[in-house]
Amino acid sequence: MNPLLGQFILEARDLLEETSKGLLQLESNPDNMPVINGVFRAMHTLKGSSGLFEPDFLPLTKVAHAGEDLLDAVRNRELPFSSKLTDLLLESMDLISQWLDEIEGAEKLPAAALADGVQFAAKLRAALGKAPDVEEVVGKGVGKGDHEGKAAPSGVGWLSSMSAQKLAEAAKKGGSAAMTALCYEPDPSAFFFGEDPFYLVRQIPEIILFHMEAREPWPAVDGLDPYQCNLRFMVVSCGPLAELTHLFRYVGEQVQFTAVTVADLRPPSPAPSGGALSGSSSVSRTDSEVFQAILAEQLFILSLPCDAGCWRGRLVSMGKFLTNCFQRMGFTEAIAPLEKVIKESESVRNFEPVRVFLAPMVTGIPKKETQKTSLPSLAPPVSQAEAAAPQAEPSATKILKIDQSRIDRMLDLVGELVVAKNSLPFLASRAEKEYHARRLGQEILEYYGVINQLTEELQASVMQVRMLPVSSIFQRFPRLVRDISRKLGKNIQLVMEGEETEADKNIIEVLSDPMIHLVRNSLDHGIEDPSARRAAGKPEEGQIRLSAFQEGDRVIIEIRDDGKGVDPAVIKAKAYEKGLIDEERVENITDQEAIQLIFAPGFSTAEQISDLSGRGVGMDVVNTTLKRVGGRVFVNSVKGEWTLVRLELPMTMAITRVMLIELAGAMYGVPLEIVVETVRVERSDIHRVKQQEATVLRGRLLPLVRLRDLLGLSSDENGRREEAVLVVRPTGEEIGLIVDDFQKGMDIVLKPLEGILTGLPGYSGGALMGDGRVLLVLNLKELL
Amino acid sequence: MKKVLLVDDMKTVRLYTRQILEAAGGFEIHEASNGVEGLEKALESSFDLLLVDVNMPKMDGYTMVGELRKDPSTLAIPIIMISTESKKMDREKAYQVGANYYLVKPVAPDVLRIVSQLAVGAVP
Repeated sequence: MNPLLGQFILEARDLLEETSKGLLQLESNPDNMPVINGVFRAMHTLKGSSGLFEPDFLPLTKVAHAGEDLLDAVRNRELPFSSKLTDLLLESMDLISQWLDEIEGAEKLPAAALADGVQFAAKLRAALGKAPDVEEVVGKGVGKGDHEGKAAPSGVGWLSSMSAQKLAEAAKKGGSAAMTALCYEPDPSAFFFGEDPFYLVRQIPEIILFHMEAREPWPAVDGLDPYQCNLRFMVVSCGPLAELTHLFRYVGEQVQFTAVTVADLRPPSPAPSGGALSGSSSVSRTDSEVFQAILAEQLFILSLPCDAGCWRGRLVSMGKFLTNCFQRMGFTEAIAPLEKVIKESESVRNFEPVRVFLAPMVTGIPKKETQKTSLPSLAPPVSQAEAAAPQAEPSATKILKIDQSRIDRMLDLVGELVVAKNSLPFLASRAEKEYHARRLGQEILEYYGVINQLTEELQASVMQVRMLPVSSIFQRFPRLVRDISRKLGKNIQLVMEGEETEADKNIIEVLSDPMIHLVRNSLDHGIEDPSARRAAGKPEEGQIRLSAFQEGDRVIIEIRDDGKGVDPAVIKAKAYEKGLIDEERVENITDQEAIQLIFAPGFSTAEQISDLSGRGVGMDVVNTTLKRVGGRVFVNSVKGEWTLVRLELPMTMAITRVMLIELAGAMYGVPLEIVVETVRVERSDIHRVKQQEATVLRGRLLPLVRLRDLLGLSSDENGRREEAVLVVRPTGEEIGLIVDDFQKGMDIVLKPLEGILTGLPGYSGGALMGDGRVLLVLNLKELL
Repeated sequence: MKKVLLVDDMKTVRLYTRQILEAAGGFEIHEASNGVEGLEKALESSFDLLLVDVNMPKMDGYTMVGELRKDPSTLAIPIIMISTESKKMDREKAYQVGANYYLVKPVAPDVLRIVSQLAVGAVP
């Protein structure tokens, strides 16, 4: 894709987001001027960059333009802000967003875009209370066209819209002869009248200028009626007028004749008010046209008042500018004289010498123009305060926009680096043991130390890069809550806090779907409709509160609503019905425990499958999704009052520190975060307490588990005098794991188990070790 | 090679202009995304041409150009201001602060190219 297009799409999406955000803010606070201005500016900018791609993205420009005009009316207080207005504008944002998606895929707008765009722009303008522009309501079958429908030009006006080249050629051919300009618009039903416009036009004698155009934009092929004539012919002929009128006698009312002279064929001089060349992409300019425009502007500049501070800059820069222009145009003989008059002007502090020099060069400007500029010292000072903009603020944090795939690649590489460096100790060990190069071994370890340090820092900063604020998920909720609550006829306020809380990108991505489901639950099943709330003595407006915050190395997200809560009795009944719990359990289960049953697989209490939440994405899916990344979900509720769903997630995901342990000849990893210590316990200190092995460690009883047994590995044949015990705390209680031996701690890139091993309980993933072996990392929470 | 500084807060516009000038050849292109950055860069190295947008955050084009015309090192550099506004008032303001020419967005590619080439006296 053209990088310009790619860049445009990026910026356009940002602008759309900004606009949507601003509009939602304005809904609750319509008088917020800065926000109104911000939204207006965003629309304006969008219109501007879309305009770079004309005519392809014309529909987009049109819609943005209409939106801009609407917002302009709002900020000028000509139009009050209303919910209806927001709806309309949000709709237009959605349309543009769809178009951007299309552009991203197909690099162009869909075929219906122009029709849709025109229609939408008309809708937007209608909200202004004005009739849509004539150009918006162009006749039947509006489709792709290369310009708007034009009204028939009157008199000789249309001549000046011809390209300079055509006019020049016509002037050459015509010379001083009498000429007639004619404009012929055949009746649309000419075909059915037996007329042949083309035949007529071909008969025109002595054509010196010919132009043909469409009266209305051409419809799309399927909407085109080839039997309707949509043409307009504009011709200048040196033939006798009598002959021309005779030729068109049967269609007299469709033709306009005007006598013209060669003077009318002169290209229009740069108009005084429109000296600046605007970008009209249909007319190409020649160097000399542009040069002429520049010269004319310089004269205009010289006529503007100037104060003591600016005249020198104006003069000297004009000199440089014009010298370059002359150089480029090949008018090298004018350069020296120009320099002379510039110097002269400088010494007399007056623009007159330059003006006199330039004036004759500019065609079409009468020589008698006398705009003498007064001496700078006497001119009224141009207040510099006018031109002064607000002071530059201290630069805020610089933000860099980066292609996500590049970051991912970089992160992968860092991950690999972390693992690769782990080979060095092995190497050092081999150097010593295999090659008896002890010194070499030592040096390798030294360098390993350095690399390790650097890698750790690199890893830390790169992990930072992966951190995203949860606002990237939260930001969609204002719109979601608004749309759905309106749809359901409920009055709901959304409060969000802690959006700046950060977590690893992967975690954020995982959170997205569960959160949408949970919020929809609150909207659909949680918060009651206004009448029910009133009956319950609650305020009519319900509230959903999204909070995010950090707790240690975990990120906590809470979704709280003040709706009707979860009824433990209903849950119990349902669970019993589905055979998830037996009668005994129903009796002695606490309300709290009952509520947690909603996470049990196979459970769902949506009474009716609403199109909002009943997509089969139940609470159990939320639960498993979170568990998959090492997180947890809890629900708490008071029936009739509130419901709170709490999501707990690890902050980071990519690189894990594990402790290596040896079991039955193989190596396993245990996440270092749950390891408390390593001890060696004498056989004699191991006791049996209630069927379980245990030992006393520093005055406390430590239950012991033989990891070989837990993993289903063969029992250790060698009787050991002392056991290696890894003390871990997976859930809050300390437990000692009896292993064959411990090894060192190591950094690994934890990869989830795939294929047939997916979802295997007890293992949180695998990793590749420095020496190429595969390490299985244990999930002790699941094992124990 | 003629050194050009593009000053515009929109990356899309800078890229658009860059593509046009690169296609024309003979230009060494630098960019700045606001008036402050533009001012700094223009004062730091010597450019043959500045293409300056009007509406920018931190410091708008008018202020930036005004400042440059006060400094002897940038007093004479050809400066072309580009804006979405076509009103006479805005054009005049640009010239008052010292611009040498004024273009209205969206600028046609050939106009942009021709004006730039004229402004630096590019060898044909």
